Amino acid sequence: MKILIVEDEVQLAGSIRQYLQRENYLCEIAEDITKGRQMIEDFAYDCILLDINLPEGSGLTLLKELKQDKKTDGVIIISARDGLEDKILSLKLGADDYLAKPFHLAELSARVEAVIRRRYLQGESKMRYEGLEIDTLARAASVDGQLIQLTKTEYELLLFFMINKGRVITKNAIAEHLMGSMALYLDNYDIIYAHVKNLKKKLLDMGNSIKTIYGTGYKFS
Amino acid sequence: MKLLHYTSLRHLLFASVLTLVSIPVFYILLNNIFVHSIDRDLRLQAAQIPSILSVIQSPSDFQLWKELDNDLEVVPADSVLFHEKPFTIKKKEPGIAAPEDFRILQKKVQIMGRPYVVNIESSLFEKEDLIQTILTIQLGILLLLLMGTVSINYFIHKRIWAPFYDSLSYLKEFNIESESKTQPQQLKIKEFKELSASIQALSVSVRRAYYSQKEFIENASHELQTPLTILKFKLELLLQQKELSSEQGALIGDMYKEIEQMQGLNSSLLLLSKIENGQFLNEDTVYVHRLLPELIEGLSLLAEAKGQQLQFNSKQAEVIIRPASDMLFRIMLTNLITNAIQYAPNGALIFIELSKEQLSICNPGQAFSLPADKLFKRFARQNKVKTNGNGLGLSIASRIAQYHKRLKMEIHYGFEKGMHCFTVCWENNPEIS
Repeated sequence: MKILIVEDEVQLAGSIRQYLQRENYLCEIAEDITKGRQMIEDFAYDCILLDINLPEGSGLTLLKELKQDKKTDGVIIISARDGLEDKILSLKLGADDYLAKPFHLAELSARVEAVIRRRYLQGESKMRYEGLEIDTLARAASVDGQLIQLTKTEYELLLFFMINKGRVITKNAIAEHLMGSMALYLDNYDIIYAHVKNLKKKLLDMGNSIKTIYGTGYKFS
Repeated sequence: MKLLHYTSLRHLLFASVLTLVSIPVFYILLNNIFVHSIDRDLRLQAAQIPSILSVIQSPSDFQLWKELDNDLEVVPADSVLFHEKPFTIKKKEPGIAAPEDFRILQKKVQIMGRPYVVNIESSLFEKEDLIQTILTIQLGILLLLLMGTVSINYFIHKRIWAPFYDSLSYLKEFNIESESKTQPQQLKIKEFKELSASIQALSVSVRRAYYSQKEFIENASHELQTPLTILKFKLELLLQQKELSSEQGALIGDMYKEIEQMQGLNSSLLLLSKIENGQFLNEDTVYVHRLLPELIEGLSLLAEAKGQQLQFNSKQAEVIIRPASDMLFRIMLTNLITNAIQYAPNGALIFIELSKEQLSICNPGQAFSLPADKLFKRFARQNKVKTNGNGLGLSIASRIAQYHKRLKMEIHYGFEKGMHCFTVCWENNPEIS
């Protein structure tokens, strides 16, 4: 899978590349609109991460051009502006998703995964990892063909783990994935712990697939 | 006391005192002048007496003289007390009811070798009349003068101070966020010109400082966003290191959490300054009855974390408000409900009640020591207890309510029967909706 990151903050783009590359994604970086435009013309990407605020202008112009050329690359808009108007405008112009800074890398990876799945694995709504199968259409999961009963929260949690498998996910990232910016108001992560514990129990057939990384978070593998 | 009244009152006081003092002074003065002139007449009359006396030769002549001259009274010298100077007495004239004042000059004479005293008298009746008339005229003039000065002063002052009142109303209406519509007038008086110019200059500089401060907050928050994000990304990457010990992991986890807090604070500040800069469209229609269950669903996990329950009750099937900002309204309600969750004890029941023009969010809890009006101030925390919120939630909520001016939206706080209640009120404008 090829991903293009159009982002003028080199450090930011570098971190995103480093995180995503672990997942068999090939990441390329364009620091400005001109370079981005050239790379989009020369190669096909599965997903383009497009920053709105670029030195030469808005990243949205690149999105418009992309749609005019009828390119099918998936696009996720990254914006420093947490404005509803930006979000609506981006989605109207044909972006697949919109992510406001600051976000978690785990969250970004989940969004990228979702976009790629929607675009290129049409009809294929199932994700598999070892004995576990998640049907994103039916919002159901099964282990070795055995359907497991999950609450809505547990399902979201499992999907998030699945997408970020092999990586340490912080409790903050999980909390924010589940409840958005309200996660800030959590006194402790007991609630996350409780839900993960229940999920673990239900996945017992898979062995100890969710590992607690002391003090930080969890790792699904 | 108004300035105009202050000066007018002083003028009035001065004029009244002048009038009051002048009346007795005039009276005494006029009286003296009059009596003086009568005395002179009496002396003139007295001076003629010797020439009359020289004619009197016999007692019958004497008798005739006494009868002819009514103003004279001749009495033997030993029967009366002699006064050297003229004097005033009250005497009752036959035919007139009240006794009258008379002025009398006595003169010693020798008539036919015997000593007599001649009393030359003159009625003071006319004098009273005259003084009364003069005083009435005088009083009238003084009153007119008094009214004149006071009213002229009043109107002149009113005109003179007009620019001052203009400046005053300009200052009263001064709103740091909106430019004033009143145009400065051309002024004649130098002091007022200076005053008006200084006020203008002051308001310009105050506004500039205010805007630059606001701009600074927005820019600073914005600029902080990227480094914070990078820092967070790096920590997230660091966590992926295989050889990380659990202590290192815990340290990174702590740092991570602090950065999250910082980012939360940062985006709250950014939001606040955006609201204050009026950067949100205020034209949406908000379906409150649909919005609330959605928000409550989103917050249920947070409530669940504290074993709390959010109980929503709507008295009205449909509550629609417009024009409002959907995004801001969401943020306001989220902040209020989050606040209730934060301050309610574990396992509490939080009541959310919606009616046509108000929404109340109540949670049980201890009474606050913080005054109600300080509750909405930035970073005002109950007992300085560090909570997970950033101290901006209620401040943002109250700013959002103010943002919906056209709906007259307000947030009230009350503590009753062990329940903290925040109530959002608005007025539906039938013309708009």
